[in-house]
Amino acid sequence: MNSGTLLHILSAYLFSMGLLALILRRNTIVMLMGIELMLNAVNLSFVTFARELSQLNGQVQVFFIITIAAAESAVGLSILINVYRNFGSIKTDRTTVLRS
Amino acid sequence: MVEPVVLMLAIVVALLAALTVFSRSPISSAFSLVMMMVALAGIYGVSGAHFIAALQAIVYAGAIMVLFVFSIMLLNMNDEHNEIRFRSWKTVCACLGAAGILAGLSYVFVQWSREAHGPTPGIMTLEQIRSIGGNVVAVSGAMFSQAYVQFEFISLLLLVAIASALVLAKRKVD
Repeated sequence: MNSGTLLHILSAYLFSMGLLALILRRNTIVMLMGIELMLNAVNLSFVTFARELSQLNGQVQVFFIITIAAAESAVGLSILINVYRNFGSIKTDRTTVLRS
Repeated sequence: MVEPVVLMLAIVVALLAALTVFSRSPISSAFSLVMMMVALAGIYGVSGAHFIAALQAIVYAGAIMVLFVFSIMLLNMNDEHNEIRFRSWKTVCACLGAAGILAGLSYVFVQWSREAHGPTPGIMTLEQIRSIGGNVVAVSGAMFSQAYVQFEFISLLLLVAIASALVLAKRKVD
């Protein structure tokens, strides 16, 4: 096994960990962290493919993914603040009413 | 042959990712996520993606995680307990599904690595990057020559994200 294969398996592991955080946790901030974990897994996969194929397309795509992750977390956290203001909690099992 | 630095960083990243998912309080999972992103920046640096490594340390471990920690402190979650019920069948099913995804992706990646993949004709080979003057010059050249339309759209998306975050988070005056 070379380093590229190890990094590919690590990226698969990070993706499944992010998925677990998204499914198992009830805290919305930790669920957002799970989404960040999955985005990081994809970034690692892009960089490893770029290294294995010795080209730069993957790294350029990673730049765009990081920008989109920043925008996503800003919008997501402001939605979270709104949810906390309306429900007094950000647990997903408390926020069950869409419209009252 | 796995480089020892890569192996060490990969173990650190794997442990910190597990800590992020399973730790008790959200602030400790946020801090393990920060450390995981710093270690991931190290992996990028070892892999030769210097620009992405700097960006990962600055944007992810700096900006995004500060946003997370700040909103955790703003929301003041003091009644926190780990809400994962380890004995429930839903947890077991989720773990089985994640293990299945891990096994499938690993199988695909290992099969891909077994085939011969030499340097394919992409934008640039490693020797060309070295002769240009480094990874940052090469990546920015590619970004502003071949991907400049996407770059402009990304700046538009950032503007929309700023506006929508402001609209969503502002207190309603009535």
